Amino acid sequence: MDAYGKVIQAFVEEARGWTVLTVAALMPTLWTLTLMLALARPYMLRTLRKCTVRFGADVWWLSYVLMRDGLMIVTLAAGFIFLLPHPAFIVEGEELSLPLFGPLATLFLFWALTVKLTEDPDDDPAAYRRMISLLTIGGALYFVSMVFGSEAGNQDWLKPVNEFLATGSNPAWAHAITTIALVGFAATGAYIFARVLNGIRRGGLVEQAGGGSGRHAHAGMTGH
Amino acid sequence: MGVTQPAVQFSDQFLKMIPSLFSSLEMFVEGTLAVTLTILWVLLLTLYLARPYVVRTLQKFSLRVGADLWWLIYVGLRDLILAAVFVLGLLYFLPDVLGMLPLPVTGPLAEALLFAALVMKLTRDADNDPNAFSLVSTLLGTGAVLYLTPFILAEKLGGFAGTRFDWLVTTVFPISGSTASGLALTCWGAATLAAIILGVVAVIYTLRLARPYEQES
Repeated sequence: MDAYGKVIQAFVEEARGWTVLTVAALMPTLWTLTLMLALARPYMLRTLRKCTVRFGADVWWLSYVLMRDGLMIVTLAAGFIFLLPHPAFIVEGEELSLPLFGPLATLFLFWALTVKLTEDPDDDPAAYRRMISLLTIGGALYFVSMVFGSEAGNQDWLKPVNEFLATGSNPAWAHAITTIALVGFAATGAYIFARVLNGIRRGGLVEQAGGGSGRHAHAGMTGH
Repeated sequence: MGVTQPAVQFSDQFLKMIPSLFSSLEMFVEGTLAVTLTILWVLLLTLYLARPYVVRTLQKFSLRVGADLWWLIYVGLRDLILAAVFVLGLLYFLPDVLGMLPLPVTGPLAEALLFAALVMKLTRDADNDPNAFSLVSTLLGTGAVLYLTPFILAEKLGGFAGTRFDWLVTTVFPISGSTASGLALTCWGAATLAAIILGVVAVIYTLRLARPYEQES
């Protein structure tokens, strides 16, 4: 390879690492918004009840549900970056420092979405509690390993903690956690697939979707 | 041959420059976010304090649909800016960023106060309860002062080092074993602890409201 080829190759490899780190840097934003919107439900309901016409209330509720669920899906999609095998070594010869528990956090988010798919957290308080608990555990795993691990590499006084919590300095754990998360994803995906197909075989498409109860989406726990 | 040799030297130099190019890019993005936050803090305070004007205009509507839409747009915009300031300000919770960029030293505390305002809005009706509204406004006002004062005094007026306000910047006087200053890390520690406590309060509050057979208030 000639000199210019080496420069281009080095540039592309660095850009790859930078892109991965940029997506990883966006993850706290997405996780925070996901958690905020999920936990903001009481506030949204309080505002909803102040609307004097149903049109305004419906616009408010639909905007909230759309943003909340859309963000959960976007966070899950972006979180897949942590499930790529060996993310810690994407740049040859240079370790990338990502949150150690990133893959597990994404798995918990996937489980929270599974609860949303298989139950009705907007009407069933127990399902809502399950979903919030899974989201909170996922968020806590992500933020702890990011703030004290991958984003504290220059703090010597935090060295034992940040070396453990960052993938680049703890590859053995990183690979084990990624493998566990991949297996969890595959198992959960298979469960969802089987459940959806079984539901369709048993009851048809309308019953599978909840028999049209979505029309009263904010009539249960919302009391609206 | 005469052309190839300088090209090899140039490529070697360029190879060494590439990592610093990308780390500079990262610093540029984070520095731009920090500056953008000053504008967003001002916008947030403006929208919060504009409440009397919005309510006065609301009372002039003759159609209920118009009034509802006016109020919902105001609330939606205000809360969107609030969420944006909180989310962009998350960079103040990252110790490495505090050590890498000359940021306002009380930025993490401003972020913690914003989080407290969010939790207050969640647990109390700040739009109907005057006490809650005053408390939220006070938290936001104090947060804005804590964010904007060091930014203006140290970063924009005083430069980064050698002035009497330089202690207001996160990278000046770093303690040993860190790239950030002792004051910055103290503010970071207090803000992180407050954020953990506030997060736990928010989760417990929401979970308690979702207990079966219990209505949300």
